[in-house]
Amino acid sequence: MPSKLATRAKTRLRVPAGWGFVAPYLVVLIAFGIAPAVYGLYQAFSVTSPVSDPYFSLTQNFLDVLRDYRLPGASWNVAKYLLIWLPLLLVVVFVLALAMDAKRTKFAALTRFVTYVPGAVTGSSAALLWLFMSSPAVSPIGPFLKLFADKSGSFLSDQTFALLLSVMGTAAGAGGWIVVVYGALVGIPQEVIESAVLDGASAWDTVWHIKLPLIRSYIAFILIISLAQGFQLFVEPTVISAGAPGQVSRTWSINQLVYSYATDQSNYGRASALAILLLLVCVALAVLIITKTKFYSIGDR
Amino acid sequence: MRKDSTALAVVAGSAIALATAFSAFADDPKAPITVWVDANREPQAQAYKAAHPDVNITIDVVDPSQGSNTSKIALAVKAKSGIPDVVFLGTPDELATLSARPISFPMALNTVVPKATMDGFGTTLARCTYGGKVMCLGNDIGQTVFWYNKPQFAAWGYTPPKTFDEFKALGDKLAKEHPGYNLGTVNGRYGVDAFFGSSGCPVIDATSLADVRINTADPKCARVGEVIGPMIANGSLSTLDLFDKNYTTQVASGKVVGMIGASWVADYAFKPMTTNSGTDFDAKGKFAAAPMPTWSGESSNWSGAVGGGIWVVSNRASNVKAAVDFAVGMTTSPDIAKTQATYPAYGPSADIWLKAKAVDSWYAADPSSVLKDAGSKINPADGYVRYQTQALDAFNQTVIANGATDMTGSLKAWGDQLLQAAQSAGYTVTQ
Repeated sequence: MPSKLATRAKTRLRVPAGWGFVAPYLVVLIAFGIAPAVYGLYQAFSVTSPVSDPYFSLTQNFLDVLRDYRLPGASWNVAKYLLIWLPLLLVVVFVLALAMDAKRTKFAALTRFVTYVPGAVTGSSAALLWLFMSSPAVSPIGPFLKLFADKSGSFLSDQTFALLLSVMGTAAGAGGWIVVVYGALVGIPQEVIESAVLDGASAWDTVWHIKLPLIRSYIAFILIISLAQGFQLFVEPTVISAGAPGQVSRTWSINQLVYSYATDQSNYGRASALAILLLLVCVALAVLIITKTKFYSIGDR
Repeated sequence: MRKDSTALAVVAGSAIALATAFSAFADDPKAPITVWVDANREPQAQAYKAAHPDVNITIDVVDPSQGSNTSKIALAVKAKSGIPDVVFLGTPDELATLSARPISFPMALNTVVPKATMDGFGTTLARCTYGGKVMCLGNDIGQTVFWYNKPQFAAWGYTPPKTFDEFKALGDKLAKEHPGYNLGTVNGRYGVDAFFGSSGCPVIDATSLADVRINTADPKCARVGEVIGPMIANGSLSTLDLFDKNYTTQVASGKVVGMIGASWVADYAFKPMTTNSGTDFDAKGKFAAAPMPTWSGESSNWSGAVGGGIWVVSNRASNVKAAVDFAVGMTTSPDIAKTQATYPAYGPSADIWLKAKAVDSWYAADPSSVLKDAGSKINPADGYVRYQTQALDAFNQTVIANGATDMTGSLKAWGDQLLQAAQSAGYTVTQ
């Protein structure tokens, strides 16, 4: 039996080791995460005016961005995107992962690989690929798209954009999550499943009453990561709308509006203010999901 | 870590040293100058540099996309280092942001450039001027004319329209007799600058850095809506961007038989889009320029301006003479005029440039007299404003998105968004 003294010595040894592991990440977090956020907060209180010197105001920039005529449209676009994309993503990920788990054949391994491939294409190049695919004049599925094109021959518009981005986001993002969820399903002890089957549970029962509850926290995890991603939607609409100029608003998403403040208007105060508001919304939603799903509680699952 | 901080100290140290050296050079006729140009202007800048070996010029080729130069200069001004001495702006509306606080970048040129030289820029100087100070020199202008496929017009018995009523009538006829063909596009700046701009509709009519006139209910706006609305409806005007893949294929296959377009449209849109396009249509010897049609109620056939670059000199330049000489040289040198990509803003340079166009066999007829005439008739109702991108975006979100339906309502919605965009950019708006 180790004495109390020895335990304390061990803990003392562990603390510097722990810091050693955390330190590299901490440096990056402070340099590229916390410091810019603090600087952004400072900027958000600095109001620039074309006719006077910059001045300090706690509320001016925030009020200006909340009153901007483009914000309601951009918010609604992002909301539409999240409402289509998140459920679609979750359904595709869980249905495919559960199907692969139910039939662990060689074919499933191949499917796992194939579904992962689109996710290996990064955001901007994936957007270019989809721009090509969705342009009726050059797309390999052009004749099909022409059925839905407007009179001028364009398929892209503010109306179809949320749907297109949702399909694209699912195709590009589902693969990685399928691998993660499949890994979690494999981690469920086989005895649990076997005893359920012995008790007469159907395949559907094991999914609904055993597998899904056991991997519940993964749903929360995917939701938190995806919500933050979705709210900050930027690369995909920017690239696709640059390829179809004038068909989609330059400030289609909220983050594009932030970018417009910074580049079109050289107004870093308003850009920072809106970025901070966006951060607050993401953090609030993450806290809500974490508490509702008891994400971090260790027992009681 | 230590290595990093040492490196950081070295960088910071050299930045301070550089800044000190920079300020020591103030008003130094031997100081080097840094110029920012886009890729199209690089050969001319290199030619100027070669012709002036006594001046130490650094040429940086930079990203010409909307807002890029301004945000880089804004950051450089904030950091107080790396500010260029001369900048080429392919999106000249950025001058309005650069001139305003907190950037306050441009130098007033009317006090340092001889009046005789200034006069050569003619009416193009008006847009560069804020409160009597000339903040830029025009490099090239995008005055609009009516480009048309001459043999096709002759074969169908059409003639270039003299007025916009005739233009609309031509659209009706084309839609009925040859559906699938069109007379150009009105998306974004092709609609706002070419149509509303030539009509004098007050949407970006800046009278100073803080004042602008906006009124889309003005008759000069309504008459544009009455022409383009029905033409969008019958398909004789497209709502696609000129460089949208779905439109370039129409140009390439000869479906675009006319266009109210800028002076550069022939060389930079029609020519490349129809060369090696893989279609049977060969544009060589087809396109000619006709004078702009006249808006009803006007005595002159005003032109609009789509694009057109400018040169801006920094008021923080340490070698003022070299910087101003560079900007003047790039716009007025006869040798550079010959190699200019597009129609020069400086009158005498334009005459030199047009000589080459007059004998270019790609055109169906010599376009030089039409281009020259339009160059002096750009409607002065347009200016450079800080909400240019929002103005175009709002136009596409309202007038273009609604197509031909309810033009009056669309114009009103556009006007409402313009008003908010202008006020948000710090303008006092009058009607």
